[in-house]
Amino acid sequence: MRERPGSGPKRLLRDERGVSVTVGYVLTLAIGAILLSGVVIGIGGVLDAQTDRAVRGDLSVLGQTAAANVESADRLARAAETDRSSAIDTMNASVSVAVDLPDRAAGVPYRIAVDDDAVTVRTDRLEATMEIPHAARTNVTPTSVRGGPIRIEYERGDAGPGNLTVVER
Amino acid sequence: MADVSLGPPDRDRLFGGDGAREADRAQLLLVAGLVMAVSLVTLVVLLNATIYSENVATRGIESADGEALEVRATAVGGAGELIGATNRAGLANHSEANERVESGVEDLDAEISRSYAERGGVTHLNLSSVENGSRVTGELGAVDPNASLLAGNVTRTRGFVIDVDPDSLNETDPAGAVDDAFHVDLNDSTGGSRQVYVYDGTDGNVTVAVGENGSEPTALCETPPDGRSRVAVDLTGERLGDRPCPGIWPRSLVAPDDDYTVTLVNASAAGGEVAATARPASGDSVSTDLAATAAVYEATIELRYRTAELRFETAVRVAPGEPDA
Repeated sequence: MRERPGSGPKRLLRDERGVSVTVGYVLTLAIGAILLSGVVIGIGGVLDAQTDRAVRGDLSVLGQTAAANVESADRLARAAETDRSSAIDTMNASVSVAVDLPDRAAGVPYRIAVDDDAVTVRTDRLEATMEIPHAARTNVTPTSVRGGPIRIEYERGDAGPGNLTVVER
Repeated sequence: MADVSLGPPDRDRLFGGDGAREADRAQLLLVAGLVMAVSLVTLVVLLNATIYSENVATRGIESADGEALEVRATAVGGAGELIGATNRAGLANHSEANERVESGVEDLDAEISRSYAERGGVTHLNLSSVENGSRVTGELGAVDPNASLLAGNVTRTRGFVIDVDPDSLNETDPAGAVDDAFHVDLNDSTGGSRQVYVYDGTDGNVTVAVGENGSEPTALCETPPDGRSRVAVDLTGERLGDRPCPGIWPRSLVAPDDDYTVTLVNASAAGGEVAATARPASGDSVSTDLAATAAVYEATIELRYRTAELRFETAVRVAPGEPDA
């Protein structure tokens, strides 16, 4: 190995950097660690707030989507019942609306509950709940399904007008 | 121009000597810069993922029912026009009228299927059943001036329109209308009778009044003739001229349990034309003193519409011009 130019006892004797290099590195690492910790703590807080906001935003949009489709199915069910022939052997009024909802809201699983008045979407992990009122006039069977693709169905029964029912797809 | 090129590495810059402190500072800056860069990249990646998921979540909501309702409206409107055109053609018998409606619905099915296939929907239209009746027409001046049977023992009436000549109407008021005005008598076999009077009100307007069991009627609506030779009194559509006139047709006769009889009374007190389509309580034709042709009163159409997301099936009863329930 080639000797470093200017090295040797002579250089060592006149070198005043020994202490300052060590302190310099320690300081560098310390500052780096503090900076990194600060950034991680800062990001963690921001990220938690953002995730919470995103989950609530997602739940709101998913609830609105589900409510809008419940109202669509209601309009179709009423249209199917309007001027419906009461003759025997005629086709029953039947409606089915498929809704492609994601399995997770901002990465968190959720559930959809539907009743006569509102669509409620909630996540258990973050305890976020959004209730979106709907204006469906057809009776809705109270149901709770896992978040994800759903289908809203209406079938006229032999006894008379049926209910809107939400099922998993 | 200034010289900005780097000189050849000299011994002091690389290995210390008098410039040794500059070399140490470079390492410090590199480490600090690396730490900052990694931290910022991490921050950006994590925040971006959150913003992306929020962006995806807030995209628009599309309503699924528009096209299905459009298909239904198109099918009902088309079938209604088809029935109207078939009845106006004055066909010789009911089987001919039924065949024409059946073939018309097949054509309508082909047209609608083609139109919605282009948009990704599958439609199917099928004529399920037909109810026969009669289309009755006549000139008010040509019927019995005292009382003339328009339709006897009917269960439903639609498209009942009297185009009256405003100049020919008797001038009277509600009190005198029972004896002097032209009116339509709707006699329910179990629920009494109702009358619809049409006369020239004292102010020259075409006036419609309704009464029960021959009692003094109540004026319901009026419209100025405005120089028109005909003003339409649409009894089942509940309109006078171009204005709505709710209440002309009795609620009890919208979907009655029993049959009723429609009679034109005091026809000499008005001029114009009358037309109506009625469904008899039994048989295919109604009894009438006016001219009647074979007609299709109503048709039941089975309608199916499917897309990838939606299924809509129903059997619609089509009877254009029936009073609203």
